[in-house]
Parts: sequence; C-alpha cells; structure tokens
Amino acid sequence: MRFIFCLVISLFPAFGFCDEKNDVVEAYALRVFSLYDQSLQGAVRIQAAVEALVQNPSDLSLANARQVWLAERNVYSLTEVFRFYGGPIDGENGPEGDINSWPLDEAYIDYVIDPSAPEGIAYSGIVNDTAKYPVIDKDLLRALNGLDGEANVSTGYHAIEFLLWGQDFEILGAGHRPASDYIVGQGVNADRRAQYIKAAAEILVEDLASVKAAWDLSNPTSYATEFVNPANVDQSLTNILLGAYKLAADELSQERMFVAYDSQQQEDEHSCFSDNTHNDLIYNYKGIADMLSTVSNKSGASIISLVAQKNPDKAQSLLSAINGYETEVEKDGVKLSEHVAGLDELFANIPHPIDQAITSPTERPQLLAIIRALEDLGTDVQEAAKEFNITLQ
Amino acid sequence: MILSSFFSLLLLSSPQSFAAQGEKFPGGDGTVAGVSVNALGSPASGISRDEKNFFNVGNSFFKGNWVKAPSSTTGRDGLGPTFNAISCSACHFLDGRGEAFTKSGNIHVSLLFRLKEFDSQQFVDHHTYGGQLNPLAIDGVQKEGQATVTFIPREEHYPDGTVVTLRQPEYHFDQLTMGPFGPNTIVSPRVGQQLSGLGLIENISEDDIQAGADEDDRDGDGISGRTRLVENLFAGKPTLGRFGWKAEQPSLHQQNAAAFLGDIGITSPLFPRANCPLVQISCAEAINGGEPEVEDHILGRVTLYVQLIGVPERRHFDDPQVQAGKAVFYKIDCQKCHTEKFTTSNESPYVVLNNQAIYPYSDFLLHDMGDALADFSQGSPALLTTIDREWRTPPLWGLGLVPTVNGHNHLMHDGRARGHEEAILWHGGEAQKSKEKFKSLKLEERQALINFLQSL
Repeated sequence: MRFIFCLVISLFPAFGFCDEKNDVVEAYALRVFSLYDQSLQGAVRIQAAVEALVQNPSDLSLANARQVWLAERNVYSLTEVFRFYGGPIDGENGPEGDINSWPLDEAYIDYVIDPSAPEGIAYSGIVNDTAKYPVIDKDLLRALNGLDGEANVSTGYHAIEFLLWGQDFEILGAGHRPASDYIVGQGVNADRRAQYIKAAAEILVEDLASVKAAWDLSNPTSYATEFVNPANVDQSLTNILLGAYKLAADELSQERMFVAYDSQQQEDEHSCFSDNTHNDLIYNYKGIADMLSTVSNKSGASIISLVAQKNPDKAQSLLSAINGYETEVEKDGVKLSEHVAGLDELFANIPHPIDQAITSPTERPQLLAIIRALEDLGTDVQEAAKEFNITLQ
Repeated sequence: MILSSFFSLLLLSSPQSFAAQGEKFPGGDGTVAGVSVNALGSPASGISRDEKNFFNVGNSFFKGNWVKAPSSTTGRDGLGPTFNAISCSACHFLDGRGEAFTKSGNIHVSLLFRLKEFDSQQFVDHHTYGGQLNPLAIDGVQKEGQATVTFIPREEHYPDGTVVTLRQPEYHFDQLTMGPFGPNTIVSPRVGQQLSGLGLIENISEDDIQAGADEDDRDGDGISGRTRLVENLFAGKPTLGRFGWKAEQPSLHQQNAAAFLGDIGITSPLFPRANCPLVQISCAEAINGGEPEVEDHILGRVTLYVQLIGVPERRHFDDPQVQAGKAVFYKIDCQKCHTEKFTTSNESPYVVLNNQAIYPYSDFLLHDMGDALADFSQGSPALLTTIDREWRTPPLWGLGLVPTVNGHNHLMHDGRARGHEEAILWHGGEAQKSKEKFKSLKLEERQALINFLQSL
C-alpha cells in the first residue's frame, strides 16, 4: 500500500520523501561497499606485511606487521554496524565468525605459556601438532572452522593478532611475541607458524572480498542491487536501523563494554593481545554515528534528515546523543549554561587500555557513562524508527 | 497488560473469558511479544535496567565459546579436558531446543548420554566414563567415544485407518577409549531443553508442586505423578528436584553449575573438581583454567540470565480452532500431567517472577512413560528401576515457536518425535490411555489439538 503511494507521489518530485528514502538506502549501500572495499585493501596490506615478516623475520618486520594490523583494523570496526540483520556479513553462511571470532582459543592455534609444562611453555595447537596436521594451509583452517560447534574458530583478525603479538598476561602493555618465533632454526615450528599466519591472512582477504562482492551495485544480481530496489525500501530501512540499534544497545554497550565492566576480568576484551580494544570500541561507535549522518549525493538526504522531516525532536535527540548539548543549570540562584558531552566527546576521552580501565576506580565511571550514553543512543534509534512504523527489538 | 486485563474484566462479564485473556500471557507480567528467531531468548518484559545489564552479562557467558587454558582471556578459559560442547548455546541454540539428530541422521552436539553403573549396592557414576559420555576433548587428552544412531520404523495405526510411522532410535557406541560400558550400565539419552520461563518454575512453591503428586495413585486414574528429593548443595540437605529431564536438579544455580562441569568441563565453586574419572590419566593431568574456572560472580550472572528469560506471548490463543483444540486437550486428559496453571510464590528477588499467574502446562512431576521411552541397558534390562522409566512432565509454553527459532520440531527427551503428533504417539505408561484417546479422535479434533499446541 505504502509502496503504491510512493510510486504515485514520486511522479511529483515536490513530494520527494519516498525518493529520499530510496536515496538514503542507496547511499547506505554505497557506504557499505566502500568500507568493505577499504577493509579488503587493508587485509591485502596485512597479507603483504605478513609475507614480508615470514620472508625476513626481524624485530623490524614484526613491528611493521603489527603497525599495519593496527592501522587496518579500524576500518573493519566501522563496518560492524552492517551486521545484525542477516545480511551478507552474518546471514546464513556469512563469514563474520571466520573474520572476527572472539574469544580466541590460543592453545588451539599455537604454543601458550603454561607454568606446569617443561620450561613453562606448552607447545600446543595446530602449529605444533605435526602429526595431526602435517600441512597447514588455507584448506585445513577452513575445514577446522567448519566443525560446527565442536571446535573454536582459528582464523580472522584476532588469530592474526595473536600470531603477531602472542599472549598478553601483562598488567602493562600488550603481548611480547619475539620475531624469532618466525626464524627457522630458532622458533619451535617457525616454518609452520609462518604457514599458519599466511593462510589466515589469505582467508581474511577472501572473506572480505566475498562481502564486498555482495554489496557491488554494478552486479545486477548482487545483494546490494536487491537491497536498493525501491520495492524493498522499507525492509532495507528496517535493516539499516536494526544494525545501528543492535550495535548500540546490545553488542557494543553490553557485550563489548558492560560485560568487561561487570566481570572486571583482565583481558575480557576483544583485541586483548595488542591492547587495541579501545580503538575497536571507538570505531564501532563511529560506524554508527557516520552511518546515521551519511548524506546521499543525489538529494542530500540522510537518515537523520529523514527523521527530522517526520519528527524534528527525535532527530535532535540523535544529534544531541552524538554531539552533546547545552543545558541550563541553576547554581546559587544564577542560571548557567552547561555542556553535556555527547558520544563523540566521550569516546575521544575513553580511558585505555581497557583491561586496566575496567578495574580502575577513577576510570570505571567514565566507561559506565559511555555505556549509558550508548544505551540511550539505542533508545533514540528505536524511537526514530517508530516514525517509519518500524519496531526494533 | 494488567490494565488491559482489567478492562476486559469490565467488558466481558463471564469469568471464563477473563481467564482466557490471561492465557495470552503465559509468563504473567514478564511475558514477551515477538515471533522472530529470538522469540525464546528475550529478557522478561519490565525488568530493570540493572537486571537487563546483568542479563546481558549472563547471556555473554551463555553464548560465548569457552577456550582451552591457559589463555589471555582468563575469564573464559578452562574448556574440558573432556567435554560435549564449547558453549551452553551449542545445545540450547537461541535458548530453544536442541536438534538431537542432524538432517543427515547423525547425532547432533545437543544430544548427550548420561551413564550410571550398578556397583552391586547402588547406582553410581560410571567408573571409567563418569556421569556422561564426553565425545570431545582438548588436544592431548583422550576423547571418551562416539555415539551413532540408526532408526527403526514403528507404525501406529488409528481406528480410522490412518497410519503414522515413528522413528525409534537405536544407539550404538564406538571408539570407546575406556572399553565397553559393561553389563551393569544404564544409558540415558537427553537433548538440550528450551529455557523459557525457568525462573518462574523455580519460584513455584514446593507445596504447590507437591499438591499435584499422587504417588500411589489413590484416585485410581492410572496417573501417579511423584516428586523426587535430590541433593541440594546450597541447602545442605535434599530438596525437591524440579529441573532436568528427570527432575534431578533442585535449583537453576545448581543446574547451571552441573551443566558447566558435565557438558563443558568448567569447574565452579559448587563443583570444584575436574570431570575426570580416576582411570583417565591424560584428563587428570591436563592444565586447568583456574580454580574454579567459572567464578561465583559470573555463574550468578548466568543463573540470573536463565531465570529472567521470558515466556513468549501466545499467538491466536482466542482463535475458535485453538480454543476447540484446548477442549480436546482436556477431553483426552492431557491436563492430568500437563497442568495448565500455577501461581508463583513471593520468594524471588525479581519482582517480575513474584505472584504471577502462569500457564506452563506441566505438573513438574515424574511419570512412568512406558518401555519405548525408557532408558536402556546394553546387557541387563532387569537392572532398570522406576526412575529409568520416568520423565518429568516438560512444560509446553513456547512449544509452537521451536520451528521458528531452531529450524526443527524435534520433540521428546531425545528429539525422536518429528512434530506434535509424533510426540503424542510416543506417550506410553501413565499416558497410554490419553494416547489411545487421541488416536480415536476425529481428524479435525486431532488437527485442532495440534493447532492449540502450536499456539503455545
């Protein structure tokens, strides 16, 4: 019914709301494609840095690979707002688990520090099990990931992170894997570790290429082409808002922040080997905020402008959640203007590393403030969705 | 919701209509709306923000994978040494029912096998395998063995000529690293149960459950539900068993701690020792993930999570077909075990669980369900005792959403029934009469009954 209504009024450009909705959905699809493309290029750079490391292992090449991983991780974090509605990344057979699985079963992959073992190290995992896994390659890791609930996932950003940094039991700082782990003749099973990290990088490139392809609007049969089809505009808008809502209200504020805040367990954080979790959180949030304000280059419309057309107050709530706002407080009979920080500012000042902040009496309130603000952002998105007759749960 | 019930009371003078209105919300005030794949895993409606936060923490540890120790994520390591699954949700996927058998006829991770052995005086955990078969192990530790299944067709003939072919599972065990189970072993297959409304069940008073028991069948109706006292590690004395397929656990806290240990190999303050029978040396020598592996704080959050999962709102509950089906449910005496209604006590710290009129369709008692469903011994059927033929009546709320959430409709304790009709036909023992009555119903009555079950 609404679709027919849109078709009719789209004959009269003055009544452009439906067009703008289509434009916003298309702008979203273009943004998704662009960010997966950048993630893919980043994964290719990680792959090259890994190749350089295993060809010529040294402190320098290891440090370089770590730098590249850190630089390229953020752009993937921006894409996580494209999850939670069964799209190409995490629908049936989507590669999300292989790309971003956490927690990582370290001992299932490589040696771990084990005080009860000889010399304090247990030479465990796929890298060191020469009998069970004579050859380590992409096919082996793919097959092991497919064991459906029987074994942990052994690939993705965090597997590569572990193979670059090693375990982190340090109160201060990240893991300290030595470059000699990759020097044949020095590190135990160095050649196999090299095969492993190369295979993991190759799989990451393949998986990101597959989601990028699904969002390619130039392919008439791609997921993206269906997504932007005006006949599907309401479902697509629902999915867009559901991703933002789920990430803000559940995955980011709860699973990634409140759980660590509550458990106070050191390293109950996603990028624990590199101590980079604060950036995961910052860029997850930025993914939401940027997506909401992404502007269509056709009509200049954005999610927020669509909301504003329906209900300016709800659009203002979204903007205030992001940018903060001024409020009046009365102090000693004098009215003063007070600035309330938005999420941009809260995240700019996020205490880190997260594994220390969760136990610090002075930093815990800052983390809780961010958690509460994200929960509120989730509520704002939920409220805004109602303007389009969308119920988010 | 209370308000809407109040208005319907004003509008509809018949008290029966009022009762029917309440039925739409089988979990009381905390009942949750929604028919998505998350329909069986949502938090109860109306819980506080703090409760929701803690619910999410419990959810994280329920859904998240456990990893082998020692790991950097020290709060999530200690998997095994032997285990059935790497997370709770492997068997309770989306808080719904386990699949038990895969489409290709293999045993799914969600189906486990409890083992007990007669030591000439009493039944104890199996001396070489422990209380259940653990088919998986961390690297360097021996797995215990594998189960496989074959199915024997079994026909049920209706008076009207209808024939339904059931599948009777026959279990086989191979790669048993500690040798055969031996003749004195009783094997009990059990699939992961759905989690709807567990906190409400926990908050029914013992007296109310006891009131339904009729162990010696004094009323002569052939149905003799009984309660069972089980060890309660908190109380330090035996208390009423109310959770598990055999009512073997007294509380959700103990149920969760037992499942952490038995299924995932995670020790807790309640069960601090690794799940390694003495003869399994590689198991006993494996490194652990701390002592205990799951701390009280986190176990408490997982228990809160399980307690506060809401019951789904009924769909089409007032549809005439569904109401007719409910009448059939009563006509063939299903309600004699599947008790429609309870009112919870006032004992819970969570307001949403207190003083609630609930519709679980269970008496939470143990009933003899006949030979076909009974546990089995590979050498000595004569060893089977009462409890091996008994099952605790499972609640029926949320039943109609299992296909949506879990993509299958495998029912009964080992998932052998493919849908509601087959499940009814597997009822024997005390339920034999009701089953025969079902088979004698007219086709449209049978269909109405199924529609009723689907509305739950």
